[in-house]
Amino acid sequence: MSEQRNADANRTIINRHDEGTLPPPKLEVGLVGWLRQNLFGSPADAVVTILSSLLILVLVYGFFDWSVRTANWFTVINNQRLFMMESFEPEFEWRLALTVLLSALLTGISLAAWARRSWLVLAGLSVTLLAALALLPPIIDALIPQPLSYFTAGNVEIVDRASTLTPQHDLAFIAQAGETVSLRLALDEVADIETLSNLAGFSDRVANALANAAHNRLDRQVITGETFDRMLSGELTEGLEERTRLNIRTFTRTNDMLTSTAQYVETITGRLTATDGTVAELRLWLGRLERAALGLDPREDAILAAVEAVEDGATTLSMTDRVPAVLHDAIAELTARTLASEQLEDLGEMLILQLSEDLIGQPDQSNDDEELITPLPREAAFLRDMWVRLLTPQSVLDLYQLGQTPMAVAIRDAQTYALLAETVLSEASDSVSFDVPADGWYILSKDALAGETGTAILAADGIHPIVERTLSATESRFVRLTDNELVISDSRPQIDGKSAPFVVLIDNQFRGLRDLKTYLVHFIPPFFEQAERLLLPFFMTLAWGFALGRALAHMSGENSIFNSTSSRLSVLAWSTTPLLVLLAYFGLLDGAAPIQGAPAVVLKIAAAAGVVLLVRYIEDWLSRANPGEDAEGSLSRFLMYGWGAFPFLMYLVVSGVSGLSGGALGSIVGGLIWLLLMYFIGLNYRNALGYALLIGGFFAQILQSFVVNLVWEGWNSEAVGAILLWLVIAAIGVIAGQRGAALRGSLTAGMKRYGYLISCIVFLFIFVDTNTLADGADGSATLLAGLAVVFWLAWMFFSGATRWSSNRIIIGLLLLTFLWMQSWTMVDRWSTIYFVLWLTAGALTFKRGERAQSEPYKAEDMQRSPIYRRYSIQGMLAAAGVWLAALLLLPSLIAGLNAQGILQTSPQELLPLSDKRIWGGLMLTMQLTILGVGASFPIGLALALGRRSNLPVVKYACILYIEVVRGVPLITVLFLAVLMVPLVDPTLASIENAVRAWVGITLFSAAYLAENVRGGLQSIDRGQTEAAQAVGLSTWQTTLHILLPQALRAVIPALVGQFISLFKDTSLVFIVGLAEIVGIANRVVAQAEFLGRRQETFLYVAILFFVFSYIMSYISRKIEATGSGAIRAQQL
Amino acid sequence: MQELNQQVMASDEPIIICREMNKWFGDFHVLRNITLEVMPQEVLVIIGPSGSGKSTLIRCINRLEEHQDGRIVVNGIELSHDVQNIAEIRRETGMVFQQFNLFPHLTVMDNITLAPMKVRHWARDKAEQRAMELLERVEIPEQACKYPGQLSGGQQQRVAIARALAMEPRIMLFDEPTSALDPEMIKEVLDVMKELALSGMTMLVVTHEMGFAREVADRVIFMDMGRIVEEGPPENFFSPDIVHHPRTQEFLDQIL
Repeated sequence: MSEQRNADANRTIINRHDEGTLPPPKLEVGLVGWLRQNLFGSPADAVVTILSSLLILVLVYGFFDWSVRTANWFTVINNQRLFMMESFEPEFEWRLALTVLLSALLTGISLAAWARRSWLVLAGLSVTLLAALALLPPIIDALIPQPLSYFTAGNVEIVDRASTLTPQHDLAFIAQAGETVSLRLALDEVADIETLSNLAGFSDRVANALANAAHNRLDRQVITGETFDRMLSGELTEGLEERTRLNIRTFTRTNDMLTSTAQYVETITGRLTATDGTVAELRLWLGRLERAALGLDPREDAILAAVEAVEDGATTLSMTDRVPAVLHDAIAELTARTLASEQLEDLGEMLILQLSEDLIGQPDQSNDDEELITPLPREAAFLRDMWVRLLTPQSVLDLYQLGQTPMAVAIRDAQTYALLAETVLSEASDSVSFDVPADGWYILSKDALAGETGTAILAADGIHPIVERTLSATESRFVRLTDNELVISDSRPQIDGKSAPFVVLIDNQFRGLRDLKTYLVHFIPPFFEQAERLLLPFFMTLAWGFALGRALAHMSGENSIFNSTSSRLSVLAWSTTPLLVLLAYFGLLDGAAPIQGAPAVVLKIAAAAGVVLLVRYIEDWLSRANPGEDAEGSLSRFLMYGWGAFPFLMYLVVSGVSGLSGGALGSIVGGLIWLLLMYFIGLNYRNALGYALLIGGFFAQILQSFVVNLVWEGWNSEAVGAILLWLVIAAIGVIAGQRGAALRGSLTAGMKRYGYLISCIVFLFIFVDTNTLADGADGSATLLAGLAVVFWLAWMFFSGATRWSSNRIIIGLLLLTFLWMQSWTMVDRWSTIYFVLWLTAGALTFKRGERAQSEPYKAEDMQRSPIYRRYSIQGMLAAAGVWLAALLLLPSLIAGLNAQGILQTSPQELLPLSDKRIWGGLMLTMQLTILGVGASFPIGLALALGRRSNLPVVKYACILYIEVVRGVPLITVLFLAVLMVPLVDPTLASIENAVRAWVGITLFSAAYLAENVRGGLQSIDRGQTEAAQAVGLSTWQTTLHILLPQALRAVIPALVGQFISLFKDTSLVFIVGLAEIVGIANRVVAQAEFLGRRQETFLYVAILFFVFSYIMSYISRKIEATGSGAIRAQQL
Repeated sequence: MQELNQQVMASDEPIIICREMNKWFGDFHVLRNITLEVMPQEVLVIIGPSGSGKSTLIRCINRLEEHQDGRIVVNGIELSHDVQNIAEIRRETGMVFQQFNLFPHLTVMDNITLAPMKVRHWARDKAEQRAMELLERVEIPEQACKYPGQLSGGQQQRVAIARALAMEPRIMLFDEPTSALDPEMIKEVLDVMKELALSGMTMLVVTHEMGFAREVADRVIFMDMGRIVEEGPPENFFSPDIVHHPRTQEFLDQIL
């Protein structure tokens, strides 16, 4: 053995036999293999698989059973608007629609730019969803007939819990031209209690009360008068005792009454002369009843006492005709009610009093006249009646007299009240039909025939429930729930000066079990139509955005989609069709607006052309903004900006902008033109013309703003003087600066440095001092500002700049403007800030233009590109011309438009503020979430970077903030924001709760985000920073391009988790009195119609929360798997 | 490259000057009185036992570490606290690390083009064109669209070299570029470095690859305990006939 091994060790062994590859065993692959490996790997696995499948099945079945048979989804459907936006101003709803469509557009472009591969799947899903939404409702409507509506007619009071109801005399309903309304007595339905209690239609409250009573109080069997008669006649003996006993047991509260009443009945019958067999039988049955009742608890002593008193009265007083009648009423009342024992006690006393009065009120009747008591048929009838009432509640008793009473019905026009049809429904008349002549409101009158009493349940075909709540409505709209038939009218139909009780019709307190057909036809069409109204525009905009995104992503230079006529046309069709369909869908062009016919066609063509131009412009802008950068990169940047700005844009649009009038809009347009000018000036900054225009344009802009202001404020000599003074000072300053520049070469370095320092200090001093003068600003302030010009120039002069650095010019100009605005009496703080914002934007555009000029590739591009070449000088001059024209024309233009009432400047704002106190529902939830995420993310980033800063002050400030906020519950932060803040500064109390809650949520979330981001930053190797520094990136660039992308990618799950928890935590704002979606749910279940419908409501809320949370987490997973994450996913 | 060579030819001044440079890590005196001059196009190999301050020395040259005493002048620019100077020196100095330190979230192409675009403000097409040239030079143009995580160690290090070269530096610093590599991959990296040296790049190389030092270096420096112990041409340094400093002899005995 060992020898052989030694021999092997010395030999090289080569295996030359290649067996080839074999297929794996069949049981190990494919479906069978999968099942074996995953589900039934071992006996234990198999058991667990089967048991858990069964459990899931049971749960799912239970849910669907409930959902189809018992749930009342009108709770959700009727309250959709409430869920979505609470009582947001209807006239501002378009703003919500706009933001939703904007988000759809951005989503579409994002899908085109970032999710190229999965877009087909998404498109398929969307189309399927939309097709289902659009097609299912008509199919269901066509295949399944609408269930009948049931309601009561007549003049009998029906007992419902503690109240009594009378059937409505008139009902209003919406009908469409061509429909047929048919009516009949619901004879079959009320024939047995099973069908009645399952009336799955839209019944009025009275019918429901009947059905409730029948369903709740009877245990399948009812003793009717007929039964009683048959019992007495001996027809029904078998098992009757047993059944009676069962019936008695269903009366939990009235068992003692039974006993007592039975005793009383016995007493009375004892005094009657037993002349016929009926009484004997009765006596026999009473005995049985007594025996049955003995097994029950004697609980209601008061009743017992009451009845005993009656009994005493009956034995001692003479039995008159009235006594049985009184007793009848009293006992009937007792049995019909389920009252607390205290109330029963009171009632008992009342009963005694009433009886005593009745009896004492007839003193002439002799007390001991036994002969007066004779077996009257009336008394026997009373006993029979009472017997039945004892075993059957009053309302059910009335119910069993339904259908017998003939009813007079009439259909009238709701506006004119003109009679359209009239008939009498009785058992003999089969049914009556009425053809609806026109769309609109109709009134159904129904009553018992004159002089008769009675009730009936009517079955109606073609009368559907109505709601007035819709997803979006600017005028008063009434919508038929089942098929969205719409009637627009200012008021409800009036019947005899009162609003017609159409709300009663939708009050569907369904108690029975529904079948699948009814479920489908009731809930699917209205809900799907609601969803379609919301989702169709969304998906269409999304598709349009996607087309746009594809177009944008695929164009660059020579491959531009605009380079051939055919593709131009296809883009035209491609990108405008959905938009036009959208417009048509909303009826923006043809519907409500008065534009029709040829003008509408022109408008549509103009809109299409506008869209193409827009695409064209975006293409141009993207390819020019970053020459050399590919279109996809530009598109990504554009989307980043778009999504970054979206939350704030959304907020501005929804909440409205105070003071955004026609004049303000004009000023914005002027400002935009000015920005364009600044860019071209920047491009030409190196030459004298550009320089002159920079200075001149700057002051001219101030002048323009001043002039625009004067349109409102009116001219005065002081203002003109101030302008002139300012221009003189500025001119002196420019000359001084140029002299200084000429002398600069002869200054020593020390002089420059100290001069620079001193200038800065003085400048700061003047700046602060003028600030304090702001209120009482006068000539001295202007003088100070003028002095500041000199110091500004000195500052530049001494600062050692080798040329007129644009930075310094811009900073100086900004500060100066601020100063000067402060000294300007007619301008308040806000307009100053507004103005400085404009100037900053102008400065940035200027810088951009300047940089474009100074960068070599831009210069090349200018050579290459006709746009740059053309616009460099001529463009600037043209822009200057336009701008000057605007400067001169704008004020008069605005004034002119004002005079014609086109642009109402002061009274009518373009985007008036919405009342944030009535914000609520999903809209508030989304506002808080999107704004919270949008604002807390940058703050969180800043905090995380601050916490890692080398500067101790910044670092510890960030640590303190993060730790304090993380140590406090959100609910406390919200309380602080809403309750404490006004105590600190009463002026803050004017900020709406919604905004304060948003700020609280944002600040809270930012602390957590900061910790998440910090975790990501710490996970990055130090070598990354070193490598970035070694290739020359600055600290800021390193953070932005190297550290943050890696850190954020590492913590995407944690970040999105934080966003999701922010989304869900918004429900906490209910404690500060805001009704976001959970608050709305609580409000819905408190509505009389849907009292306590918690399952449906909260299930819907849960689904909404889940959908949005899942979208967030889906997106996060997609982002994780992009770029370098794809490799990480592969490696894992 | 030709352009670069002309620039370098034009100057006879040392491109790196260290004068009596000292550095401490806390109380630990890590670099002691280093004086060193490097001429343009020179290939300087620094060897020495671990902890001798080799890496710290070259990291001081591009200010990844701050020296506390003495002067460093790179390409005529004094290294001081002036941020502008540091930025300018870093633009002229490329560095290759032992652990490659590629940016894992960017593709190879983006790794190379990021700095030229952000620091030198090149247009993307120009930067990408240049990057492709460099990738061809380090012989992995087909990897341009991959992420660093998908490459082997040798490929990653070559990308790191290309990244450093993309900024068109005048000086390249190599900090043990082959220490983290499998033996099979060391050669491909060294080949690239040789090619670079032959093209006239000024290089400071910290390495344990004696073969590379012998073949390519113009000058070898041996460091120990933060001092330059010995300095000379490689043929002398590796010659058994020369009398070395005892510490150098001890080191050479151990590795050869």
